[in-house]
Amino acid sequence: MNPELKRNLWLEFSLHRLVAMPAVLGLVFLGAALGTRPESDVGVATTGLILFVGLTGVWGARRAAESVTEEFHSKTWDGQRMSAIGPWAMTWGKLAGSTSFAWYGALLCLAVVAAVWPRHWQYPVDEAIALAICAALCVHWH
Amino acid sequence: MLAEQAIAVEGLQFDYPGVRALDDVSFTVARGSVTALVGPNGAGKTTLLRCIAALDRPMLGAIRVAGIDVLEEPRACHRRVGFLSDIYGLYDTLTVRQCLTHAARANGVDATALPRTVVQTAERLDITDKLEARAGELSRGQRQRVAIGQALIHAPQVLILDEPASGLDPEARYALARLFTRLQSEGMTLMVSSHILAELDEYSTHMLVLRAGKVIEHRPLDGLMSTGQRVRVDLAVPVVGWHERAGAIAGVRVLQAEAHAGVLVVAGDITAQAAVLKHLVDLGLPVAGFHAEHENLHDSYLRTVRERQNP
Repeated sequence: MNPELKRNLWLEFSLHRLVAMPAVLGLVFLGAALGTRPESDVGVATTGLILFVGLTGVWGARRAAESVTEEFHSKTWDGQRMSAIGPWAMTWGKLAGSTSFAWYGALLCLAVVAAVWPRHWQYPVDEAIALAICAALCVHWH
Repeated sequence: MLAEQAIAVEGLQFDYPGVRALDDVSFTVARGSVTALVGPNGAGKTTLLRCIAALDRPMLGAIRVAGIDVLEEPRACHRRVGFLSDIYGLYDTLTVRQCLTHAARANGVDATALPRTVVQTAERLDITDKLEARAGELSRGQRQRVAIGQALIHAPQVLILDEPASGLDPEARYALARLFTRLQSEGMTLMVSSHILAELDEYSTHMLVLRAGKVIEHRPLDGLMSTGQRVRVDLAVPVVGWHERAGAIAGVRVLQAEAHAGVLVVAGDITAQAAVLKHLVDLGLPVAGFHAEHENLHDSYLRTVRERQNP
């Protein structure tokens, strides 16, 4: 495995965080479900999409941007420059690794959205999810 | 570049805005040596070490490390060099084992050798019992040892350390000195910058003195000077002006002199020293002691600086 990706995964995923993310999202979805009419899934689906955009477009993008600046602040940048990891491997390892926890939450949100996708929304759910993931990846890469 | 040279620096010049940090710096470092880089604050020590490690690019000059042109192939240089900055950082939420594992993988250590390499490095630095502790929970000295472990885990040919002993207690410094001596015996070349000259004295084989961006001295630390061997002379009774007669002997230079003792520099080998001793006795001087003297790094540094200030 790419050493930079592995290091970021170590940093991003602790048991505490692995448990905390679904717990927090579960509470948000519960609140959305209780706040809308019982027969409608629109509230939960809309909440899921908003959370997905927030997690990938805001938090994930911020984590991607911070993946280099944090190295400066924590004085580890010299170590990164001294490593034998190539520029491309370093770039994608940082990008994928630093945003991995945001993606963990975002994919949980998409799973909920797919499960409660309202029938009267005309757009096919699989295409909507694929489009959302592509858009988020473009934001991170940019 | 000769095979026995681990580092060759030629005509190095490095400028910060308004300040020349390195000015026509040239020297070579022999393979398997430990070079103490000493000098006052602002002399350019850190800049020089960063240039050698291919982290900063000089304006002029050439650097070769382990046969690699550092300016042309910085990444190839990184694979052969371990570097510990004076201002280093660790990933505080990772365990020591994870820190060392990442450093090893990032520096190309084979995956199959990884667990053994990590444990061996931890043993070398006496941090085996801290392998599962988070880096952020370690004391300053323990963090320093982890950082040194990260720098040497890929068994580099050249290890460059900027103030490696700062923050270490005397016991840890002693352990570090033993480690450096062992690394040298295994063939590694070390270049160490430190303000703690007594500590450098324990393991250094050469001294490189930098002052205002210039090399003012570079020589071995075995008592040999560029012009010969230091020899201490003790007289049984004080003799006024004896050093003038001693200084007139061919191949002898007087370094220090008092009425009852002094230090000479004798050009040549031990036979030349025997000839000088005979000459002193023939001159009628009551020589009671005559022996080669090892000058410690602290005295050597201060003498070098004095000589340069008052040539």
